[in-house]
Amino acid sequence: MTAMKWKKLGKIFDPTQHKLPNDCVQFAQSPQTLVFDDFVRIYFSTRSVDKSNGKYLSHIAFADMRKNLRDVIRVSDKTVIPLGGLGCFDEHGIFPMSVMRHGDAVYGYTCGWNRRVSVSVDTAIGLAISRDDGLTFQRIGDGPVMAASLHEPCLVGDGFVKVVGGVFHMWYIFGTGWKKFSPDAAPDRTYKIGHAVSCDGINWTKEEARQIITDRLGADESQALPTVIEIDGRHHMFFCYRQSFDFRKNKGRGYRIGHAYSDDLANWTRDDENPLLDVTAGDWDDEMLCYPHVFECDGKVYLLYNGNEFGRYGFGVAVLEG
Amino acid sequence: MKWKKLGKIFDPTQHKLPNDCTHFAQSPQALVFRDFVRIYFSTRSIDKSNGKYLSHIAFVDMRKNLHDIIRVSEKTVIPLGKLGCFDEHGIFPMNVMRHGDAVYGYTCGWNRRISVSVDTAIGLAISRDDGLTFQRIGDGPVMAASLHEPCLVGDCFVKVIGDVFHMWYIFGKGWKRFSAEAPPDRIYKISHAVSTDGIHWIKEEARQIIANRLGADESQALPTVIEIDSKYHMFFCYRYSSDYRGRENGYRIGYASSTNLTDWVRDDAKAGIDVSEEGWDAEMISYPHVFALDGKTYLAYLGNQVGRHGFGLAELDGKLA
Repeated sequence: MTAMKWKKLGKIFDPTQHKLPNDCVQFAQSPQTLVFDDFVRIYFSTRSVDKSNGKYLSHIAFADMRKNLRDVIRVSDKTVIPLGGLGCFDEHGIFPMSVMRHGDAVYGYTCGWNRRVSVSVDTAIGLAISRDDGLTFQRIGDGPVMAASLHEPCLVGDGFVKVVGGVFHMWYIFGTGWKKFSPDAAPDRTYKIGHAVSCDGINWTKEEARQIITDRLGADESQALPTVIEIDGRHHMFFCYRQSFDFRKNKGRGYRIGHAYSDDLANWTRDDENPLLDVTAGDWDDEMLCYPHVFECDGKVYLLYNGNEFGRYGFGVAVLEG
Repeated sequence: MKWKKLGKIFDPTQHKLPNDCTHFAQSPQALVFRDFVRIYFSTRSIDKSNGKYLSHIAFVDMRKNLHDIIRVSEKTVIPLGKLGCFDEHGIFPMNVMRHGDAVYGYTCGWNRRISVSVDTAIGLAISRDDGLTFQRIGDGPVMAASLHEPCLVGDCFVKVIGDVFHMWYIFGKGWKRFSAEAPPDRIYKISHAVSTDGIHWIKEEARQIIANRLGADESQALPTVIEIDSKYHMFFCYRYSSDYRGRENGYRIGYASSTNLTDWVRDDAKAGIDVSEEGWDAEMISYPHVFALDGKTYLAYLGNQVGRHGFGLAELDGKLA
């Protein structure tokens, strides 16, 4: 087998160049694809400002692109899924939403955000279903399908779901806790990648705080947004990882893309170098790489991802060679 | 059935309490020993960072006459949860239950939110020293918000019947602004879950088991269940969901019974207890806890200002029927 290699194709979507629904103006984070016969619908999280307190609210929108992944056909002009109700897990944002066809429907697994007093936020995973090919999604309930539990005390989110052999598999993240890394800093969170299974996509059994991907940066490594694809009988996971504090401005501590593989969906071997996606000096992604999404289109494997500033100015794509 | 009121039996302002708590003795819960009764309650300190309350668990040991106080806990019974966890801003209440040599403490943990005041979930902490201190079995909850119970899962009461752990608890139906300038108020109802080990629970998922008396906006809280003559008797408290701080719309104690643990018939007329004409429980009565002791049945409960100045007791006069 020849070594796998990513070839960068550059940034393909800039949210500031389009009119977005929900008064959103910047950010196109965590792109997630739904492939149609003749185009690709790419969902992303964009942001409006909450007038009551000046804080961001993340909303889901999408861009339809030709299969060349260069030409934008349309951008959603309506609300794809409204934010959650007052006091619910997803009232302050949905970021990201992982989409998956299931029968005639499209399942959207949301990561819902709600703001807290002592720490900035908590998250949980919801399910919304689309019956109109992904134009709009309706929640199956106001609460989460997966949330904090006995040994995952906070920040359950970033669910990526795939049916393998009749079983729904979910890779997701769970918080291991919040910590003040310096006396005057706001608390920072640490999270790791876990795994859950389900027979219906609604009722999930977690492995309960089993971290399936080993740390590269030690216990304070945060791992986010797993995405899984099968290539030649082997499962490959891409995700992003960073130091848990001083990661926003400090280039060397920001997000990078990690990789692991598994032949049995139980044991994963981390191997960030093969294939490696690295920053490109002087380009839109020279400081950080985050929120990967891997998918197949017309026989090719692509990786969508965000660059500098967590996707404030959009996302780009790379194609797998070898 | 009728309850004979024995008056207020514990006033937190008359005792030194742990964790710098000074007021409130809410939601009394009894653990009966051979020669005394340990009554847990939630009391409050002030969070210096923002002036808000933090609820802590403490206990008072009383002689079986339920009049004489032997001691008040001087140490932390269970610390509050960690930063960002479901129970970091308070535990209120904690329901205690003997299981083998251990005492299980089911906590209702509170955490403050931005858009609404709070959310809650249920945790489990276990005591191996007869209830002096409790250790969490995990930093997260054993039961929390779920698909059709989107918020405010709490106030549980657990009882093993046969080989099955039964939990009665409350879940939030949602938050609502009852007037334009008021902060959001919550509405919650009583439901039921079962477990084989007391840790992994199966909810009935938003099945409200007690009918409304005050309409859809009735809030129901703190179920407590006792079995007498193979019939199950539940007491709870209920109120309007807005403007509930005065006598008119404040908490009252409700009653329901069941013979099969599935179907409950509400009949508040049988509750046998109401507010007094005057005195410490003239405005509201809430947070009932029923327990048996030396052949008698007692009801501990809160009066005015939801327990700011302590809790009282009533004794069953006659039989639960």
